[in-house]
Amino acid sequence: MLEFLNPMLRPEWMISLLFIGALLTYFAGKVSSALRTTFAIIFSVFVAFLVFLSGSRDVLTYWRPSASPMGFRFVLSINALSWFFALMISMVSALTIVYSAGFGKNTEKDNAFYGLNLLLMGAMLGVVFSGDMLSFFIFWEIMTLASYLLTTLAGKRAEKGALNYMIISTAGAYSILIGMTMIYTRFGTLEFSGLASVMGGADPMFLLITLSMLGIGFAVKAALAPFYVWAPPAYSEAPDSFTPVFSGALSKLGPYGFTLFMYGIVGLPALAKMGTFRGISDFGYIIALLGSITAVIATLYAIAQDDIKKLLAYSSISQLGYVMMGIGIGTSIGVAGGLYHALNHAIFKTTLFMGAGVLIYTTGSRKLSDMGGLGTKMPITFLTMLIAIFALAGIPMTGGFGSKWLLYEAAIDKKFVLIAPLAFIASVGAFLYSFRILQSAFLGQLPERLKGAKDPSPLITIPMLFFAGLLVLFGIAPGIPLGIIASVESYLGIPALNVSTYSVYLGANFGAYNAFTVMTVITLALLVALALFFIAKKSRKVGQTDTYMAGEVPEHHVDLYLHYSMNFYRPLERIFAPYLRNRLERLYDAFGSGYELISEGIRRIYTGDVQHYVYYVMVFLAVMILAGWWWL
Amino acid sequence: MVIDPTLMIGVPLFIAFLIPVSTFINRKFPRYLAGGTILFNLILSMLLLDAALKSPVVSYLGGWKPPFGIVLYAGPLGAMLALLISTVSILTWIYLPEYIEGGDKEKFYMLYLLLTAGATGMVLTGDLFNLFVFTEITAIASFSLLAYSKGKDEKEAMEATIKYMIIGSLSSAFFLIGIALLYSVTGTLNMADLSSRIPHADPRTVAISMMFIITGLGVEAEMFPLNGWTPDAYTGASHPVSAVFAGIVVKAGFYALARVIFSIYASSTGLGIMLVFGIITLIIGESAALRQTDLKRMLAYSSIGQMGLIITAFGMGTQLSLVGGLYALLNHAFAKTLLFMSAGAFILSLGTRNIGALDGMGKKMPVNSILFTIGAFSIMGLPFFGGFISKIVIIYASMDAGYMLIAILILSASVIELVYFLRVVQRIWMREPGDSEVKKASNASIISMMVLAAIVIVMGIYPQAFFRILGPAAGELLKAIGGA
Repeated sequence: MLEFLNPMLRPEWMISLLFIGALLTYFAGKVSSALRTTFAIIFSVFVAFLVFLSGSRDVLTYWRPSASPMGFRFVLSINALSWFFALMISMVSALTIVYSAGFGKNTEKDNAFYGLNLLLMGAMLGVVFSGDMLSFFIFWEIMTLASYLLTTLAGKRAEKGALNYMIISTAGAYSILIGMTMIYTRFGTLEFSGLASVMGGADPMFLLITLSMLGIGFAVKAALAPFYVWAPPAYSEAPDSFTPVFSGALSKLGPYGFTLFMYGIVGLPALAKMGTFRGISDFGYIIALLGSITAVIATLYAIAQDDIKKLLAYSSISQLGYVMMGIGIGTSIGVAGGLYHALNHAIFKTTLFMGAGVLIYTTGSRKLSDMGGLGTKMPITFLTMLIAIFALAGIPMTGGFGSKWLLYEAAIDKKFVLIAPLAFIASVGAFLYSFRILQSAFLGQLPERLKGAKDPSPLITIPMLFFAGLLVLFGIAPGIPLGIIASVESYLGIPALNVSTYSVYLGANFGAYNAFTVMTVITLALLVALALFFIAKKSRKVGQTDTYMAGEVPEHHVDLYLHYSMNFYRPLERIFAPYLRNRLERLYDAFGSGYELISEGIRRIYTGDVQHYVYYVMVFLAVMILAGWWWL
Repeated sequence: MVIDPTLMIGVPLFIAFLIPVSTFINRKFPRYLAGGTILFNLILSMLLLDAALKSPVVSYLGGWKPPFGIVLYAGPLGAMLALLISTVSILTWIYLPEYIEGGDKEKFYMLYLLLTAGATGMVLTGDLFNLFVFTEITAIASFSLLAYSKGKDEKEAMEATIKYMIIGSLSSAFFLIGIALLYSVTGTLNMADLSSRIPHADPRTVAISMMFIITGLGVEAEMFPLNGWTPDAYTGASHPVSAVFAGIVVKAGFYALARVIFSIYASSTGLGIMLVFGIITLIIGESAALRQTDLKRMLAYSSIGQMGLIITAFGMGTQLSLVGGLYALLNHAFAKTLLFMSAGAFILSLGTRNIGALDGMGKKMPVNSILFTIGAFSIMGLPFFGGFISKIVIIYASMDAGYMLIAILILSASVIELVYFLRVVQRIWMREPGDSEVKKASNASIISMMVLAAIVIVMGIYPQAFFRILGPAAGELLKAIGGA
């Protein structure tokens, strides 16, 4: 039926459609804002559809630029790995564009917003479709630039966050550039397919250095400790309708880079040459350990947040830590868990940031303590965020359960006594902070000023419902995503996971997990609980501040301090506070201000006094002549 | 058609001296006479580049063959730089009317034409002493243009001129001493002859003459520690003159340095000096720019840093690094000229050079702000702009040549550069504007800036066009040192 689209199922088509679309959208905005928004939606959704249709069949495109001084060709390719990530990216990007259209704001910045969003989507697809290191790097840089510019659209508030994001990302990108040129000068080829056959034979030291250089760049995008300091301010201060892409799609390029280079190019046997620990490579173990540490640290920060976007920002960092943990472990279950969690995270965190955007738009505040009782007023937002939070906390019935379960099994399987407990702690924490969102925003009493709140327009709710539906579908039938992931694994040369539509078989130690059965049991249990709730319901509505004021009439400002979600986890915060005083940020700040001091000293070389300058010239000449004399 | 490069130097020189007289015809006449001459040079340099890409164009002044006569030699590199000079010159000419103060503009245009002629001569000559003469012409025109300032900046401009003149005369003295030493052991001043005789001359004298010449030309090329004049000169000069300094004077000075080291000495010691001092210049320049609060001074230090990058790339002495260095040179010439022009428009409307005053200019002067941002992004090396290509090529080249440390230092300096440029760009776009009135830049100046911005973007998205010229240009320099 859709055969006429077949010639367009090529990476160069998808990327150029988006780049052209970016320009068209921007200039259409000069004519009419409705035309611009329509263009943006059509281009992004159409390309997302193309990506979906193209499937994971191998497509390769070459383009050899003439007169280049380096003698290379550009390669774009679609394969199992890149298709999996492209699907995730295009889904999140396209639906977020639809979502942003729902707000119907029209400022002059919106032209740039939609144009840059399409550019970013094109660049992200470019990164995953790249078949050689140079196009990878070029698209990577375009991606960083576009996301930086999108962040700056938030105005003065985002100033520091945007600058830090750009500085750390650029430093990371340069680290990638060094790693790539090292590989290029050693092997003389830029293409992944060519490298995959030679990199395995390289000496372990070389592999370690290049993988570390590349890894620093990827770790920056994945917000892995100790490189995550840019993420909380950037995620939380970026425009509300960009954050879903930022956290949902863009951060996945970090795990993509690791997967591509660790397993797609270097390969498991060569990784093992660098030394192993309980059957997995040392390099992978370090990544997994960093991932689990990130998960715990970021969770602890998230628990203490009152700002909903900050909370979700820290939560993103922590969930990305899980993803990196799975990818680092590198076993069949580990990689499957990592990739599956990446997909789940893309879906549920996008939904949560979308929901946060709706809440901020409705309440005019980002503070959880300014919200409350919105569940009845905004049922769709409530329902979708509820499902997303279930997925985040790893509660059965949603995809999140399956991925977290795989990750635990992967850590337990290898008897990682450090990683597994860290993952458990982070998971409990994830439940604490995500419950907080539900409780503070949707349950409890509705503040007087929010009486008029209602669900937003269908353009906003449809993407959110779509994602929530996917999460439930994955909860019942994990075989759908895990089937794709199994094909990615066999493409990467990792033993593929044994899956059928409803169940996953994890080997002799763990047996199989039948999602459908689990789902049925849990649903039944919930129904019983619900029935009990209605039978035994004995509740009375009380005023919001009653518990604190003991019946006295509160003054106007009191509920500001006594909102039920203030200091929600105070005891917990009290325990962890001494360890969490932004130590890492301080280290970066100290480095920055240290260098500013040095540069202040260097600036003093230029005294403004011409006698000094003459002196410099004379000394230079004298030293040169003496050196020349002595040399010859 | 055979293009005679002599015309590109002779005609502007002749017309330059006609300009003071021409003012009797009409007060506006000098401007258009100068513009017409530069346009003539522009067209000729295009034709010359086309011819030079096929085979080098050689012209003997007065028909005297070397070693007795003076020879002009236009290879791909020289012709390309001649084209660069006339392009920047004509664009700045379009830009400048509202930015120069003072009654007798004919003097300005005379000096401006003289500077263009001198710089063109520097890149086209094949004779060492001739190079000295053109360097002097360019330098004297630069001193006077720098001093050409009236009103409240006059004192600052004067002070900067004195500084520049002191260092400049020192540099030309050293250059001349170097030439004299070289002549004493080889007995010729023709570059081709020199390079064939130097291997047989007394090595110690040759080495010392090289040190003198490097010191002399390093001043013009903004090499550390010889670049003390730079910040003051860029800051004190009127905006078009700063633009011309960045786009023409320094580039011609650097060409002279590279030409002498590659073509005459063919010396690996010379390359080593370029490499070491280039990287020092890069780090020092970028670091010094980090803490600047004065917009033009920041651009001046950034210019030092970029020259450091170019010198480093040349110091590596491989085909790839030369192509990268030349790409950076072109990018810097266009982007920094653009930056000085748009900074000039900001300063003219704000009345201050303080970076703090730029808050919210994106709302008040959107076009000029976009142009400034394009220039800044290109210097930072962000994708879609020329600087990105040059940076990738230079990094590849340095890793290829085995200089990993150099590559890391270049990239670190690049991060510093990103920090201070983004601070300014974010201030322009992300802050709320004050309520003061601003004066819009004139249409003519906007057009010339747009052309520069377009060039920078084309360099970023269609680099092949430039590689076609840069490949042979780099080859020309490398031929002398045996392709190493």
